[in-house]
Amino acid sequence: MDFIIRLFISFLMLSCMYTLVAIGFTMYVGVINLANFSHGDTCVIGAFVLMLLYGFLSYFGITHSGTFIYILTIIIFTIILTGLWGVLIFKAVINPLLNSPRLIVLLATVATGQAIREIIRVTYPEGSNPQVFPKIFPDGGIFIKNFLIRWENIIIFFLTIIILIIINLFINKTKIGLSMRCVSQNYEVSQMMGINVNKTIMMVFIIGSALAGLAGIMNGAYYRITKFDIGSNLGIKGFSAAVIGGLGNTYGAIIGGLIISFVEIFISGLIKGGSQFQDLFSFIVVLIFLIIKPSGILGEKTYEKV
Amino acid sequence: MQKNKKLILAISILLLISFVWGCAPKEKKTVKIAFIGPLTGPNAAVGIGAKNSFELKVNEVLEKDDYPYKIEVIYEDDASDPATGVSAANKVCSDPDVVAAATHWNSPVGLATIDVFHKFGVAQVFWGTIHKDITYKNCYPEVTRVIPLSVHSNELAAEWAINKFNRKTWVIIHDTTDYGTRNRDEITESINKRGGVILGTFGVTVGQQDFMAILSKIKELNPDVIYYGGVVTEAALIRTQSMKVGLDKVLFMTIPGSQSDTFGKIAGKSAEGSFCSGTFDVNSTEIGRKFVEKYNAKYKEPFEQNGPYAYDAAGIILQAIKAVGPDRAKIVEYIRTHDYEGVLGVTHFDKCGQTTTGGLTMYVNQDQKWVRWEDSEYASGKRKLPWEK
Repeated sequence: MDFIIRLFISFLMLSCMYTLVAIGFTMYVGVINLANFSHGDTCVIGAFVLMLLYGFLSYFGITHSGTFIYILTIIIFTIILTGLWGVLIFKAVINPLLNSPRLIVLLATVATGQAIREIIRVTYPEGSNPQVFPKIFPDGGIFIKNFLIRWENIIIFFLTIIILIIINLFINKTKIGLSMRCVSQNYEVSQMMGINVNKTIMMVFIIGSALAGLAGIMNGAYYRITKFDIGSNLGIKGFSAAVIGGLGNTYGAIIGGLIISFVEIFISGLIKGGSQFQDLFSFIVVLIFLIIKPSGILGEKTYEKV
Repeated sequence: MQKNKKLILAISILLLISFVWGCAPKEKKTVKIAFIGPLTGPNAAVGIGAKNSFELKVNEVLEKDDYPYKIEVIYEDDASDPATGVSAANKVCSDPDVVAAATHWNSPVGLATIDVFHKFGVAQVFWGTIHKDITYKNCYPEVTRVIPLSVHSNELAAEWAINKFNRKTWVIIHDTTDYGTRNRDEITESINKRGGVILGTFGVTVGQQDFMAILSKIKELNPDVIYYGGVVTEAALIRTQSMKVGLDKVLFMTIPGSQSDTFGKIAGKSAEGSFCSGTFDVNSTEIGRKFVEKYNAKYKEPFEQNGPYAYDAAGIILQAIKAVGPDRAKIVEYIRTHDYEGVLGVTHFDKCGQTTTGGLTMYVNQDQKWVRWEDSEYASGKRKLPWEK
């Protein structure tokens, strides 16, 4: 029984990690029809920015001694800074290419991701090495019938749910969200109706990057480690989750995350010798979905108008 | 008479010019050597440590001023990728001025490039890699390796766990690269030879972060030993997460791929009492300690476990060039047939270019650092191993 509970907790945690990354992908595809392949690496930027902030404050003798306010403040600052990184990416890479074919923009994001990795590796002290991530979550947890559910499990799970709800409310209930939905439906008409399309797209990058920053922080805090090159794997898994769930649908992100992590946990935990094939099977599942339901589970079928 | 005077003057001037020309200090010939290693990618830390160590030795030798050649080093990145390694090997070997190279950390890359170096007849001194086929499959004369084989590390690991600590039941976790699967096969053989029992074998991907599913499974198997055949990041994560699932009374054994203080940094207190069947301890000799001092004075990146090997690889190449000149074939022959005394002690190669020395050492993790067992507080009895039942 303990074994099943442990597996279930691992499954939930992995789902949350992938979902947090996938939400960003769904926003980029949903609004501007772009698969931003620097998104995974933006998650890593979030993790490294937090470590830099910690280091900076420690240098001036401002240490946290575990206080919630201190940790929350640093996380908020990190998210803001990562969001501003999104502005930089938009202005430097995306905006100049907005009228280019989508393939060119996609390639530009791939190159941006590679550049991010190398910038971190070269500029961060011992950047090639894995970095110990600061302790954010408190020790201990809640005992349920002699089984310890750790605080990190509880926090990450509820945070993921909250983020999903907030993003959905933002997109459906706010003026900016309305602009985003308009732009996603028709770029030209949105412009004609007076929507500042460039500003709307920039908002997508700010929010997407901020979400990536949060995902990077949670990933680093849970595993207590980050590295300059984990973004590519994180990005691929997050994108796969978004594809399965339905690109453009934020609730699809959680379904996709659940499916990918279920496959991985099931294969590695329950199938003898399966651990080395977990990635293989999770990508086979992605391929199956692309073949039988390319719009994803909750995605809407789109038609190209001629 | 005037004509004679002019002739004598012309001849004198010519003689003077020839004399001055002949006495002018001759410019040293520039000889090129190469270093190839993972300068980017997941193993960049090891590659950069080795590159710095290589550079340190080259500069040391050239500073002495009695070296007969100017040495130009070409640094190439293999990114831990065989295709990139082959491209780098082709690039250096096709430069006719390159006479020798020190190469590679990853065995798959080494296996891919030995044919290139053999084709061009360029001496290839391995400062890393552990696959036995690199030296023994073809016995190429160009290939030498200054680091011991993985099979020796695994024998030591099995010997200690089973016969010294009486831990019989094992779970093997390995990464799915050639390095990991090779170590899996070798440790399996070593365990079986000694009557140990393998309860399960699990493959993991390099770059994977979450091992809770397989560790939950391993918890059910209740082994005495968890062996990890792979590199440092995954080793540290597995060790940390194994403690979360309650595998704190298990001997954690790993191999040279994890022999880096990065293990302790990542695993923190979970690293305590882990074992590593590793390579040469550079702090165990006077000359080794001098290397550490010189290295740390110049570089901020750690030299990692392969730094001393790269340092001696540079020394081996430079010794050969000094002895026989910048001749590829002569350098190949010289390196294979001559011993070298360096920071590793005396390096001697067997008929296939494999070192017969290289210093295997058992390390225990104490206060988040790998310490030679003999120097540890565990060996002296001052501390008790945390996993001892």
